[in-house]
Amino acid sequence: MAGSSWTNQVVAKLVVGGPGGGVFIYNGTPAANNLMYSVSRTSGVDAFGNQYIQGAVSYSRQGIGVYAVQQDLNTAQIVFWTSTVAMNSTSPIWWQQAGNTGGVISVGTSGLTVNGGNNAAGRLTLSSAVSPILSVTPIAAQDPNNAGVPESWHTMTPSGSWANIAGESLEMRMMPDNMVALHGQLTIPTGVTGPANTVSVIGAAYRPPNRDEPMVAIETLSASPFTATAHLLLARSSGNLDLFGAATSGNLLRIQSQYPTDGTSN
Amino acid sequence: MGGDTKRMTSYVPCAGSPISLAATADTTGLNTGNLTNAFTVNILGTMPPVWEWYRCNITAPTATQQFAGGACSIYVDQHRPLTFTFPAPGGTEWDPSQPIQLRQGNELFFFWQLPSSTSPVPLVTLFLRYDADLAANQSFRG
Repeated sequence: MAGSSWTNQVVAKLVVGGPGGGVFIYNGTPAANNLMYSVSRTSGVDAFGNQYIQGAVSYSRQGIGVYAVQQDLNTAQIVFWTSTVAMNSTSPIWWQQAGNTGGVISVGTSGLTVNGGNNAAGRLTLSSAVSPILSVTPIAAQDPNNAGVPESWHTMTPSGSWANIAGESLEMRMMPDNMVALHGQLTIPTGVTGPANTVSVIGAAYRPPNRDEPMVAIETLSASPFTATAHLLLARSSGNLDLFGAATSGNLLRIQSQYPTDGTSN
Repeated sequence: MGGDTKRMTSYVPCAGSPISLAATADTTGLNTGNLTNAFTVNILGTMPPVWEWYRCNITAPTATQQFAGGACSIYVDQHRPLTFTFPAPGGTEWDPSQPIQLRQGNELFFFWQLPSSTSPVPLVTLFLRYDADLAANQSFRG
């Protein structure tokens, strides 16, 4: 129907092309602040003063501000935008307003990434109306020493004469909620007489920054009657993992605990 | 002294223009079971030797109704395809840069791909005129 003079037609195919081309759909009569959808190779300003961004973008007004969902033409990203200024604002332009990106979903060689946005007060929220949120595979924190790498268990080197039990080595792991998990079993050496005795040294990225964090470790006889004694185990901000209380050489120290890495200094 | 004097074409509305006709169940046999607007010579009346169809509206029959839209093939004298339209709901208007020239005795048929039971039916309004300066129309007294 190229060149048809009939108005308000249903067409089987709409082809838009050429430099500077685009498709713009408005919510009602085209005017300022009612641009509803745009498809364009470049960002710009439409005939009614509406600032639009490149890609295939849907817009909605939220009060005076703009929410937009952009399929970015330059990257494999879906970008969620929020702003508190109008679509026809020139200072600032709504999509250049500081802290206005609500989130990004992107796909790359490392998989699917969901980013909660560049607003310092923003967050990524997962919610389900009734049923629990189901994770088919475990959720892992990022390895504190390897950006983009899922966290895994890291073996800790015993200090002094402490010795790991084979197959039960002391390990640590950063959890998604900023807790560090510890587990393992060691043979108690001689000289554990009561004051702080360093079991191992915590890696810098795993230390509690603002306070020493207490935990409980259990000393047990290695054979019947397997009598158990509780000890204070302190994860220090200095890095030492210190055991307190006299312990008998040859007994086993069993550790299964966790401590926070975002405690305050209050 | 001066060249030929040019003046505007003298367009004259055809008698009865604009002519409105609501679609009815097809009786031509070419659109059986569907709606057809048949602008036959009985509807058009006596037309000039050469006339133009220069504008058209397709709407619902009354202002309170809305035509739901549909595909339509437009033929001259039942067998010559002329144009086609597929109005979206609400109707359509046709105002071409080159009106369609027709001759005395031509009939226009709007064959809709709409069942005869469709309601509201499309109301087609044709705007017709002729060029009074054409030699062929000089003897026409319409």
